[in-house]
Parts: sequence; C-alpha cells; structure tokens
Amino acid sequence: MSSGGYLHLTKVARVASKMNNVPKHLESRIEKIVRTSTPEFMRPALPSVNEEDKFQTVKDWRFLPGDRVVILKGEKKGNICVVKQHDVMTNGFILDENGPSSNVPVPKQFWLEGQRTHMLTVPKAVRQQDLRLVAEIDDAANPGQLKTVAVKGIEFKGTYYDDGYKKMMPYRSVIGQNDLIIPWPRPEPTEDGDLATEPALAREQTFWIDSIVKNPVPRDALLTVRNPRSKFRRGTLTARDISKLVAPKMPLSETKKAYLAEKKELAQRPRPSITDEEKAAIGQKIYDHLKDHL
Amino acid sequence: MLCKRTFQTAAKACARTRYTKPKPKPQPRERVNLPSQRTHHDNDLIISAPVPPTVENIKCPDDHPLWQFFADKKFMRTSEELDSQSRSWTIPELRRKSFDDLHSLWFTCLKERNILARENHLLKNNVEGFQDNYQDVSEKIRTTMWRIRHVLSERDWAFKIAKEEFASEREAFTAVFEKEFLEAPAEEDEESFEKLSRFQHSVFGISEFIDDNVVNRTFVDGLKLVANLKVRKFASRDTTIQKFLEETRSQTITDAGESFVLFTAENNVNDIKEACQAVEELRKSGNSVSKYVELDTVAKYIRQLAQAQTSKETTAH
Amino acid sequence: MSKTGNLAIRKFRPASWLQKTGYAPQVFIFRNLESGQVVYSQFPNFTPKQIDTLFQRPNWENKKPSTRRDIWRCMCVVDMPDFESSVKLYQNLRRLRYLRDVRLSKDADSMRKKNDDGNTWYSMQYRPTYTQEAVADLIESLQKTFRDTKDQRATLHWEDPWRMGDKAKYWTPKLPNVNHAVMNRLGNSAREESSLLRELGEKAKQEFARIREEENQANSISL
Repeated sequence: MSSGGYLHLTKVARVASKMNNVPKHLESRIEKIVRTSTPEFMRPALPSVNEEDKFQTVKDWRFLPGDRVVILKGEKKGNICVVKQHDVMTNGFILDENGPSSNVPVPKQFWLEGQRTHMLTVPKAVRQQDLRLVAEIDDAANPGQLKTVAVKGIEFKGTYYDDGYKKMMPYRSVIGQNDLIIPWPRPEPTEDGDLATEPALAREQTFWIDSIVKNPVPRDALLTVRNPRSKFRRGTLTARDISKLVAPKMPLSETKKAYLAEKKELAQRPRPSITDEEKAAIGQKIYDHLKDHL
Repeated sequence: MLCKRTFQTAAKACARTRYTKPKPKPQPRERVNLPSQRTHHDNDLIISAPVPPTVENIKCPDDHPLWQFFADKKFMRTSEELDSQSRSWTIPELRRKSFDDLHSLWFTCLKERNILARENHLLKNNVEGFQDNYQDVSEKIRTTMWRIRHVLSERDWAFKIAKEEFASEREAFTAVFEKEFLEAPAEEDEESFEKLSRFQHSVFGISEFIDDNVVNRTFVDGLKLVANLKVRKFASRDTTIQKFLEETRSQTITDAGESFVLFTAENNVNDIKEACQAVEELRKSGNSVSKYVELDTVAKYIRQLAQAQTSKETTAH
Repeated sequence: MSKTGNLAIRKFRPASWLQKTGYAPQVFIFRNLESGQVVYSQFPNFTPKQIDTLFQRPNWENKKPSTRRDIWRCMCVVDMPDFESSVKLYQNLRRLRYLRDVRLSKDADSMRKKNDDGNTWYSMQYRPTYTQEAVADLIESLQKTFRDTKDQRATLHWEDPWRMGDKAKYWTPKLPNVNHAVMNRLGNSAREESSLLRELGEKAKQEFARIREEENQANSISL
C-alpha cells in the first residue's frame, strides 16, 4: 500500500515541489510540453494560474454566475452571454452557448449521456479583461423604459447582507457613479447543509452578564482556553530564549589568528629610546644644516 | 534313539507339539497397575483446508461507542453528502452564546472533526485520492473552534479588567443604589426587592441558590449591607424596627451573625420585626460573632441552611 | 521465560497427572502475533521445549518462533468432558501438526493461499494461514476424539469469534454438540491473560466435578 496522502512527508515531495515550482526560463517550455501531452478535450483554453494568483472573493471575480456580459475580443466579439460558471484553475469565465466554443474529439469512455458522435462542443473559458458587464438602466431619452448598456468599469463600495448568498456582499456600482448600483444575480437556491444552524437559533442570545464577582468562564475551562504561562505573554526572555536569539561568535580563521599574534608580538617589541648623545647629535645635524640661513 | 546323531533341526521337528497339555492360565492379579498413559493419537487423521475467519460471527451493537466516528454509519461520505456550503461561526455570533452553549458547540465540532479526519485518512491512504473535500470542511470547523476559544478568552479578560475598574467605582455605585432603594415607595416593594436581589448578585455574588454561593470577604460585606438595607427600608414603616435601629450603635449592623438573621428573613414587615427581636435576644445573651471568625461562621451558617433546605425538599418528596 | 521454561510442564503429561496436579481437562491454543504461528499446550502456558517439538521442520516460511511472552496470545481454550479426551485431543493436534509439517507437507502446502510469487501469502512476517490451519485441525481432531468418548460436549472459549470461521459451514455439521464462547475481553485482557486462563480453568474444574457428581448420583439411583 502506498501512502498517497502523506506524500508531502516523503523524499518524493522534493521532486514533486520542483515540478510545481518551475524556474522562470523553463516555464514556456514546460507549458508547451504539458499542452502537447494533454489530449485536446482536457486542455484548458487559458493558461492555469498560480495558487496565489487565483481569485478568492467576489471582488476578485467581479462577475458571478448568472451575470450578463459582453465579449470584447475574439471570434465571438460583441456577443452578449450569461456567465455559467467560474473556471477556478485559470481564473476564466465559462459562458453559455453564445460564447466561444470548440469542437473536440472525445474518447468513448468520457462520453456524456446521450452523446452520439465523437465530436463534442466544449465551451472555452474567457479572461476577465475580455468581458464587460451588461446592465439594464433607466433610459433618460424615453422615460419609463429600460436600456441595455455595457459597463466600462465596476467599483465596490459598502456592504450589505445578501439573502441569496447568505453572506455579506459588497455593493457593485458603476465607477464614479455610486448611486448606480448593479445588483448581484440571484443565485440558485440551495438547501442548508447538515452542519448548518438555523439562523434564529444562531442569533439567539444566551449569554448575559449578571455579576462582577463571578467569572463567566469556569476556572477549569480557562486552562484549556489559554496558556496562563505563555511565553508570549510573559514579557521576559529566559536564558534559553536569549541563547536562541543571539548569534554565536564566529571562530577566527588561521590567517586572522596569525595576524593577531604578529600584531601582538610587534606591540611587545621594545621601543628604541633616544639617548642624550643621540639627541645632541641630531641637534647638531640640524644646526649644521640650518646654520647658513641663520 | 536318544543319543542318535541327527541334524540339529530334527529334534525340534520330532518334538510333540500338538497334544501337549496346555499351561494353566495365570490367575487374575489382585493389584494391577495400569499404565498411566493409555491414549494414543488416531491413525486416520486427515489434514483439511484452512478455515478462513469470517465477520459473520461478529455483531456490532448499534450503540457501539466507535460509531461516533462515523456519519450515519457510512464508511465514507460522498462529496454530495458532505456539507461544503456552510461557513464557520463568526466571532460576533459566538459572543452572544453562553458558556454552556459554546461548550456543547465545541464538542459537536470536535466530534465532526474526528469523523472528517477518519474519512480524510481513508481517502488519502486507502482510496489514494488527492481531493481535499474533507480537509476543507475540517478547516472550517477548526476555525469555529479557535473562535470559541478566542471568545472565551476575551470574555475572561473583559471580566478581569471590569472587576479591577469597578473596585474604584463600587462605593459610588452602592451609594446610588442605596438611595434609590430606600426612597422607593411601598407600592413598588416587589420591584425594588427584585432589584436588590439582582444587585446583591451582581456586586457581591450572593446568589439566590444557596449552593452556588462562595463565602468570602465580598460575600460577608454584601450580607451586612443587605441586612442594613432591609432594616432601614422597613424602619420608617414600623416603630419597633425604628426603635431597634436607633438602639443599634451608629445605626448600622456590623455583626455577621445579626446580619445573617436579618438577611434570611422574608421581605415583609412582620418577618423583619421577628428577625429584629431575634437579634435583640442575641444581643441580650451576649452572642456576637468576632470579626476574625466571621467568614468561617457565615460559611457554617450557609452550610446549615443548605442542609436544612435539602432535608426539607426530601421530606416534601 | 527461561531457557528451559517451567520444569513441571516441560514434558507430556498423562491424564492422571493432570487431574492429580489440579489442572482442568483443557487444551490451550496460543498464537504468535508476529508470525501467526500456533502452539498447542496442555497447560495455560508453554515452554521452549513445546516449540521444539511442534516445529520440527523449520524453514524460511515457518521459522521456529521466539518465546517472547508479549507476542503470544491465547487464541482458544477447549474444555473437554474428561481428562483422557483432553489428552487425546492434544495428541491428535500434535499429530496433525506433524502430518502437516513432515509427512504430508506437500498436500498441506497445496491448500495454502499463495501470493504472486507462488509462496504462502504473507504480509511482513505474518502468515494468516497458520491460525486458519489450526482451526481446521481443531475441528478434525475434536471430531476424531469424540468417536471414543461417551460425553460429546465440549466448550470452546475463543479469544475472537472472528477467527473460528463460519459456524454454519465448518462447525455445526461436524460438531453439533460443541459450545462456542468468547473470553472476557473487558479491561486489559492481554495483561490479565494468565488470571483469565486461571479463572477459566477453575470454572472448568468445577464443571467437571459437578458432572461427576451428577453421574455418581445417577448410578446410585439405578442401583
């Protein structure tokens, strides 16, 4: 039995991480190899993005499934489509039948139900910058009527609780016109999961402060909540901490040692002292040299 | 014939064998020592195929404790059955919940994480899958769990800080309450005594339930204060109580025993009057509680009160 | 366990000795947790001598097991109706082991489950076939032993009911009068094994005495 789940703990992990962290100069080459080695029906239309670049929030995505968008680039330029789903691996948007698609051969074991031929029309994901949101706004020319416009830019201001998504969502508005809010599409209703709690039950307040003398948290429970002797709260460093924080002294190299020894030796050499006779001799020499100028 | 030389086999051949008189049978022995080992293995033993073990013989009860590690007794939940939609509890939501609620939520989370850990282990090792479905849900639950701990820790800090701050404001707060309590008219008695009970619980930790109480300095201080308040509340309505109060030194009760008698009295004029009389008798007999043994004495009284209550309850049942 | 083991149980003991010494009419089967090998014993423990006699043809698949106490566990205790039959059962089991290992080793090997290399199936050092063979041998030897006994009731105390095999298929058709019980597994049964076996022995002795008493009474009535 091989342990697939704990691969990251094995030596194989090093090789695996290398495969994921391709050096910059090999990126294009590897991608080419990957593209040519995967069959066409499994090949994504857009290059896959790194983990840290993947879209996380609705602010990143900007358009959610159900939004109407117009395509700005490519063969289907100008078509208005509905976003069907997000392609998480490539940060792309998969659109409905009005969007770009390709006819690819699919092997029989991957056939969908009711499929008759080997050729299958597969939607191609579209990049975010090639799409613009389509909204309906009041027509100023004909009051009381709506007109369909493409929104050049979107900005997010403020938040509200969305009943459909059951979470806080930002208001999506036209850039520069915060009063022109383009509502998020209503998601398809989903049933609550098994682990979910009823909203009324979740919101019910059961904690009331009624005494300044009695701790609301039992003393025995507190030890499992927090470490009272935590080193992060202690505020002082132990000898052990200090030894970890202070770098050890670098040992001297042989050359350096020799140099220091030599220096010491030189310092200890007796300094020549000038005797009175020598002083007199020097004085005489200087006098002889300068006597003509005196 | 006898000494005739012949082949050595001839004598045997000539010997009479058929018509000799048979030897008598030996007598059956009196004491027979049977061999100690009389059994022997069978000679027709056959070796047969190994008998494989079977789980048919094992019956797992429905209430087996290890079922707690399974969701609906399923080996592994499929990704559809798994609840990947729900989010973690947020900190503001958890702040509204009592300790017991948080405690039970914690255990629910823990149990669910155990199930998920088991399933994740199976997925990664037996099924050799690379999905992180179980892991993701487990992470969400872990988030809830650290938030519970955060909320409890926060609550504890808040309590500690508030307690420190309140120490300086206690005097003023008590004074305001006293004033309001004593000035309230007789019609609002019920309300004001409810207020008093809330006040004694919040400031001195004196609970309605006797067992919950911990006797310490604060408790005894509270006891004295409540006793004083009760007497002063009814002093204006009854002359006996008024007289009692005037007789008391500096018009405040400082003795813990006296306070306890007044504290336990019901909140009406007659009961307080009776309590005052009891206190006067105590004073006459020279029964007073020294300041140094106050805590122990009050603790003893409280214990006696609790015992009396339990015995009353048992007899009532 | 010393080199020689308990001196009293080093050799084969006849029925009379067992009864005199205070043992119950029982046969004990121990299994090795590491290799799955099995040792039969007349006593609630065993000695290296027994391992020597039971493993006569050690090879790389069936090595002579070590006597480490921690890797041996009692797999089954057979309560027989009398001491003679218990001794005979033990002899039969030993004979079957001899047949499997020595005389009919090829036949025995042909019945074992094989791995891809054609060797007896194993995982690390563990070969489950040995315990399974022991169960088959137990059935066979009980069957043959009961041909000579008046009372055909026996009680088998299993450590794990899982290991005894399909009851309806292997046990009931051949041995309808045999009771199956499960040893007490509450607490640390591995650590308390010796006291557990002693308890079983005491119970078996009492049962034996009770049946003798009943028989005596029945005889006296018929007179």
